[in-house]
Amino acid sequence: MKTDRSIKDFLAEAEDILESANQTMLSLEADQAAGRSAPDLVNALFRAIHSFKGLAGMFGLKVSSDLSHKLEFLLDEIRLGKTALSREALDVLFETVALLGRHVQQAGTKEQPEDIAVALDRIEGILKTKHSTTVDRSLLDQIEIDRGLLQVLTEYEEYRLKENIREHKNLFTIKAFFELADFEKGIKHLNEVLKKNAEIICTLPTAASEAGGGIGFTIVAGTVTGRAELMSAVNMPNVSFDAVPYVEARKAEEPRSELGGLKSVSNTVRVDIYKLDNLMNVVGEMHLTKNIIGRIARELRSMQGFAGLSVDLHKAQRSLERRLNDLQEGILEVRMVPIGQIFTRLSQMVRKFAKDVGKEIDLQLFGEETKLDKLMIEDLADPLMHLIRNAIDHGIEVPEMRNKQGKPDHGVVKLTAFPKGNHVVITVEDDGAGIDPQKILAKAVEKGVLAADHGLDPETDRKEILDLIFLPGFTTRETVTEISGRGVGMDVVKRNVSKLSGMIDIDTDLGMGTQFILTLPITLAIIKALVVESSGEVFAVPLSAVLEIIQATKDQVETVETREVMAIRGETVPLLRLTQAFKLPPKAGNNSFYLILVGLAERRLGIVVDGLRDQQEIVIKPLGKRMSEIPGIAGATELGDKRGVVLVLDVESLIEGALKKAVVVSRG
Amino acid sequence: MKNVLIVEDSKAIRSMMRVSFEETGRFFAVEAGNGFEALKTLPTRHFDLIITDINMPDINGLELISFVKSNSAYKEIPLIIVSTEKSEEDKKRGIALGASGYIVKPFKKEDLMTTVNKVLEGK
Repeated sequence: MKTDRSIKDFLAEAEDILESANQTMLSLEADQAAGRSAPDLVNALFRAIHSFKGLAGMFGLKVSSDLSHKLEFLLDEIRLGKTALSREALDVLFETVALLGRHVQQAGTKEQPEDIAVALDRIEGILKTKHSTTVDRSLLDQIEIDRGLLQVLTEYEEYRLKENIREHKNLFTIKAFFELADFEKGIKHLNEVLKKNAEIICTLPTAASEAGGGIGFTIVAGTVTGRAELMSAVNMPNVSFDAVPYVEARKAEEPRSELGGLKSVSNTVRVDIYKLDNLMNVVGEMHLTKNIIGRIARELRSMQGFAGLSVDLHKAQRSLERRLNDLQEGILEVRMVPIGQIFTRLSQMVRKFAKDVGKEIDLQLFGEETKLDKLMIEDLADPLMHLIRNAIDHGIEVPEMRNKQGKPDHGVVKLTAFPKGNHVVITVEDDGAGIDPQKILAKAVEKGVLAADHGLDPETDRKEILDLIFLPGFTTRETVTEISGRGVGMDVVKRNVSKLSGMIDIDTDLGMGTQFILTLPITLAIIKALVVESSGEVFAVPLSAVLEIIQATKDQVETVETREVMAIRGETVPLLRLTQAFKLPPKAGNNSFYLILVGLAERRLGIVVDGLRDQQEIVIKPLGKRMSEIPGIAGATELGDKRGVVLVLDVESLIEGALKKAVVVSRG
Repeated sequence: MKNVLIVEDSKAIRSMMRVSFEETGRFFAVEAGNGFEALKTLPTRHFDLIITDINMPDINGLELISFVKSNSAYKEIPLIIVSTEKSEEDKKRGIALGASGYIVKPFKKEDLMTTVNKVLEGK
């Protein structure tokens, strides 16, 4: 078979391959000097050497085949990210390719091939510098891509896809359709243009969709370029672009447009949530303007009576108010997304965690369709994940232990969401070991978060004791496992929930399981607020937290252990005076006052104020860094009249502060 | 005579395989130097067998296999993968996608024919 003819063919092709390898290495060197990584070039070089090896093997050039085999191995390691392409590695590549070139010369003149022992050692030396990169298999779960597409990826293509995911590049599936007669020209042109702007990860030919012939291609490409830019760079008919969504960026209610057609079937648009925020701010400002018009209308009426212009202005103001409310509701509705979005993400994590700790977990989801503000959903993912991790890691027992207690092997973690008035309640529940109040007490004292003479009784003060786990620095477990992470405790979960104006409660049954209950407002974008006055200062109280307003007199107030309380329909409610909370000079005099009864979850607090002003839609603006840590204040808002900017009360932290004071040792 | 399509980016190996096939007198072999050429060649005649390399530029062997197997006109054609010992994982994926056999480079022409016969008989 090794005729002169075929040897000549071999020599010609081998020289071509090595020549192109040399070109590629020069480009690689240039890219490396410029600090760029060039996966395409490394892969091209790998392919060249791979071809050379096959060629040398087929033509019985044992020595060249062995050397190129080793070189191919090195290049495979480099292209899969297992060995770095260092300056030394590049030197070795150049040397080895040069040696292979001499082998080809020697084969042409039928000389003995040059020895390769040194070259093999040099390659071995580079291979020893191997740095360990662990490629996370779950990376592929982070994108929503046709799973069938993943099956046709070679190991290398899969690695490149993962790298693109890791770098959070924009990924696109690009579908092109060409006539069979001239598809090659089309696809090559498309590839060329794409390569200038993106990394082509794979090109899958697909059968023609209809009988007319023609051929389709599905290309997966990763890039830092945006969709619009990429599309205009390509600018070819019969080519469509679909962004491959990352799981966390997915919008559940957006139907993905089905492929095939050139026009998008979907009539939804993606909008940056911050643009909606801006719109919401505008609505907030318009409410202020509306209020000013309202005030003018009232003044006009008091001057002119209810006639003529005063009536017209009044009507116009009412009409404006209704439209404004419609507009606001519309924007709010756009912001709302089903909570199922994070549930899906969480269930993926659960599978992984459960495997890591060797427990079987049955994750049950309820109320995925419950809607919440998109921004809140994003901020909820972390706390929920932490609660679930805790449940799996600390709550659910190992199978042997569960068996002993007559529980099934697999633990159940239940994630439930449901709307409750202006709030959404989310519960994370496990059927694990539960939490022992005795242990919490002991730990709290040991950690110094609780005074030794706390006087708390595990039976009667159960709730207060359980709440101790939310204090900074509290953790009941000595060993920090990989799953629950290091340094992030329940206090962080609580802080994150508080940031969302939410509240977290805990309920536990020893041996039966633990339940965490999160109560959150549906949105933070714009809220109804009650404007109140205390000692001449004006405050806004989020209406969603207000249960009722009671007019009371001083003699109804009782004092229990130095704290003011009031009995409301048989229930004793602690009182909070804003004058005390914010150290305002108390105003003497009035015998009667208003009590704003606020509550979140099961907790109640009566806020004592001097007077009520009105009710308004407000957009809460954050305070600057310096003031953001002040407990009891959620932010500031404009009221659009002479009162100007007022502070918005953070009901959650006020309740917290008022109920905790007695028990906890001050840590400040 | 059976028609065989050889998809391989090395010209020397490709023509060597063609010669091996044609020497038997039982095959007519058509060469394709890459995936695109294979796509162009497929509709030109009826093929009884496709032999494909995995590691090729633009369209790799796995993508070609997937295309053939998902196309009603071609899906009955048996496929043989030409791989190297280094590409064990990719070989497995090729089999999973529906390839009927594989042969590891470098191979002797007898090995090639043994594999080809086995695949064609097994059909």
